[in-house]
Amino acid sequence: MELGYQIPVTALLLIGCMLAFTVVTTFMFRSQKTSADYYLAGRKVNSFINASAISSDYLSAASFLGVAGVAFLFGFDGIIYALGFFVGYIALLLFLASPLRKFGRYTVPDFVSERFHSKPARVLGVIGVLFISLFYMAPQMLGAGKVMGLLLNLEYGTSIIIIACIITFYVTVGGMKATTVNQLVQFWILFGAMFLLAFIPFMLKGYTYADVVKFLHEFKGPAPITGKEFDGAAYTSPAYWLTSLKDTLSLLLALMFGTAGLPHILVRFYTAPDGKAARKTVIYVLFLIGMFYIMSPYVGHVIRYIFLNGEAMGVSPHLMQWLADNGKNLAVPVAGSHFGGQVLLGIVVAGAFAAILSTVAGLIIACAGAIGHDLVVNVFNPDMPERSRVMVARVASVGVGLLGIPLGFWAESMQIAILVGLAFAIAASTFFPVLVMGVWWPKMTKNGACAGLVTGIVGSFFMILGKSMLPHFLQYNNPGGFVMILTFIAIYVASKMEYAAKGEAALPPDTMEVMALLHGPEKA
Amino acid sequence: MDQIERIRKRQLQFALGVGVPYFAFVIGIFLLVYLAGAWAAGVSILGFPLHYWLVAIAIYPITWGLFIWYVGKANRIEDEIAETVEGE
Repeated sequence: MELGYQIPVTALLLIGCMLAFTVVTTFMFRSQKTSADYYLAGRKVNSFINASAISSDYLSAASFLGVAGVAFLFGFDGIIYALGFFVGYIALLLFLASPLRKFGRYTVPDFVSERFHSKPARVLGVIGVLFISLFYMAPQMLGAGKVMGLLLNLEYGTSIIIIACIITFYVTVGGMKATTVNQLVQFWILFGAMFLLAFIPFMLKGYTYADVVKFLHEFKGPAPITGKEFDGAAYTSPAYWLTSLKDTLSLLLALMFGTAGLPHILVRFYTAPDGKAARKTVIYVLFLIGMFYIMSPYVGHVIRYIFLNGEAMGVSPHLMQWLADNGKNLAVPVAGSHFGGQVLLGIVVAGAFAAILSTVAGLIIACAGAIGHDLVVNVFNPDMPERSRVMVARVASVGVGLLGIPLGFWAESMQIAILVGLAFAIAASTFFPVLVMGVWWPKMTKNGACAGLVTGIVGSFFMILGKSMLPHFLQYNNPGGFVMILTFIAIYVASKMEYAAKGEAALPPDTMEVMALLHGPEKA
Repeated sequence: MDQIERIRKRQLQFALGVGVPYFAFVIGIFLLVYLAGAWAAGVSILGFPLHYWLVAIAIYPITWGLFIWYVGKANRIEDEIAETVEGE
């Protein structure tokens, strides 16, 4: 079976999903009266719905296409992404979910600015939100472009332009409330797609995880199509791809602590009714994403098994060629096509789109909040009327959504999960230290916050984009863990220096009131 | 203000008391697997290599169990704090 053109069922399913999202969005549009409705869905989202929406926000193209893809490519080493993405929620649960909800502002820059009474900190927060979110958006556009190209045989560039326009439309019109409803639907589509991809080989074909790993471990010889030597024992062992311990530790730390610094995830906790609901939400999220991350590396391994057994299993040469050429990002749709023909391919493609749409929607809302609420309203025009604020949010959403197009072009040749890992690196090294210290350390000062944000942003910028200019010992494939430690040090040292110079005057005058708000009981 | 400090420290101690061992456990699993990879790959439980058990399977139910307990306890601490504050 061919993957392009000849798949009307797939196209119909996908278009059906898109239409359903749009109808929901248009319906919800009628209830966007205030900026709190637009950004935070009126702060009344039930824990389970919020958990499904957060999981959908979080399970992006990196998780849906990337984790299975990286497991397909690198075997056991690819599983570190699933583990890291999952464990990332724990730092959020332990240190931030409840206090941030109790603090009750719209965005991360809001927190930084109001905790330290500092406009520079707010502006740095906005830069951080944009840097992280745009880095995160690039691989989503990559996934969208590749899947759309696969589905409709469109050029990559045409695909990302269409996708950017669709997402921009429905986020701009619907805001957070519609996005939440859409994400709830999208989560169950993408989860269902991954479930079927794991269920069919496991239950119907009898490919147990143990048997698949055993087969791969014992395989040694040339891989089909490429003819490259494949060493199964190395593939199923640690350090097949992650050969440097320093690099791998830094990657693990970035994944473990990056989640707690992702603006589009953090903003979601402001939509919970209270701090307890925020904690309960994280538990639901842990269940949902945990089940997903058990399945996706298994699917990646099964796809490798199919690829190596292709001839004996009667896999079409076209699919084999697709796996050889595009397996790093498109192994999951190919598995859908192999196990369930057009119907499962349709469901998988719809799942991939659901993952991409929901995540990009969350990123656009977070960026629009940073630009519209933090920059335009709070820095330039605090007296702006409520109606104009919603309009500013919508204009910011359009601008950010359309930025997805150049980002998609930039990311075209990369691997989705690896690129998202870099967004986690920036989040782990910028917001995570600043938020954790800001929430728990009363002696943190304004200079400490600014020093932390500057270290995180500048450090990760140079270590990711200027890697080749750095000395060898500072070159990391993922510098998240390394820069995160530097940021903690910068916050501590700058705060201590300011405190030594100014004494108690270095601390914001309402520090203890803020601590009471963050950690004390919530008012009914 | 002393009361707020006591509350903050109690919550922080609880979060660190659970978080530090948990993160040490995750990093410990990772170091075990990477530094003793050949050994871990050689140990098999129900036909599944130990390193896969640890990283791809076992971490999930362990985390679920631990953090369901954590959330229950954290919410109880919060209720106690609310009662104490109301009583004073």
